[in-house]
Amino acid sequence: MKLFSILLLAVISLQGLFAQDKYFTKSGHIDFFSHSPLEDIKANNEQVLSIIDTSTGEVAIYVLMKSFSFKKALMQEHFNENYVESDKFPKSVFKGKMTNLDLSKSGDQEVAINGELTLHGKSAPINTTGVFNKSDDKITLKGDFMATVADYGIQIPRTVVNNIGKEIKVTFDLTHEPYQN
Amino acid sequence: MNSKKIIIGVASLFVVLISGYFLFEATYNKPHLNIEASAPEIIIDAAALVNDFGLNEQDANEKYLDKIIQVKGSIGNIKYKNNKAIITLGDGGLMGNVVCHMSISGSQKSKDLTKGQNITIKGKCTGHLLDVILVESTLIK
Repeated sequence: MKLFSILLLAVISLQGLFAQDKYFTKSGHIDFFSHSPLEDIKANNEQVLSIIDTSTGEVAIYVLMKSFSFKKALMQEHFNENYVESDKFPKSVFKGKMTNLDLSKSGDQEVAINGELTLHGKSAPINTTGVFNKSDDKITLKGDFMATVADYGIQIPRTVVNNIGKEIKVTFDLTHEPYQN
Repeated sequence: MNSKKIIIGVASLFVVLISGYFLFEATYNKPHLNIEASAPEIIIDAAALVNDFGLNEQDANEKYLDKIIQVKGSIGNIKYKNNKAIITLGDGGLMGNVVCHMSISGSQKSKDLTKGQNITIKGKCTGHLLDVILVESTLIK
């Protein structure tokens, strides 16, 4: 975790040099949705940290697992204790790049986002598309992708294997502000 | 004799069903912890909380994650998202604050707050990114 903080600091400290290219939010929204014949499970997280560097197209998204809020307290408990083991792995990180970003375009544009999601101590590639929109004072990035539970070494007990989808749909909605020093 | 057995059988089935229902409600449908009504487990100044996470995040996680924390500090800034207040305790800079995501009732109580005011907030700690994060927070004073 120390290393994480140092890396994060390193990323941020670069902002002094290229401040006009950096956008960030501390209150981005991510939710995930799992569908199964027995049960639909949804959880929201409103405390997402996302940093975009428009000069390189890089995106870094940091999520606290304990910040996911479920409708049922029991689901939230199982999620934290049994599946993602949030005491051991409190954070999840996505690092990626928007490959076809065109800053001269105004309005919504579709961007390809390729990167790696680290969750539960395991990493796997994520390739998806998102909708990018840059205005004078903000950048929004919205989209979704499917994450395969097995890629992240998350064990689902046999008794509830039918209650939880093998693939989880992750939706993100991030409104960034320019970083001002 | 036979009808007695049937009555006992039906009665015990009812007992099993009813206790089953309550057990189900108590576990599967148990309510979220009511943070507003719960006593704080830890009382600390915002700066000290931030400092603890800065010193050793792993130790701080063990100490503070999922705990109801009452924290005192001065307001760096207040933002609103979906009608819910997000109150930053600290200097309001890029990092090193306590960011308190207020509950709906907590947001209503926070309407008249202004930057620089010293306040006390109670919320559940979910961890540390650039700042320490409290959720479902409510205003104490």
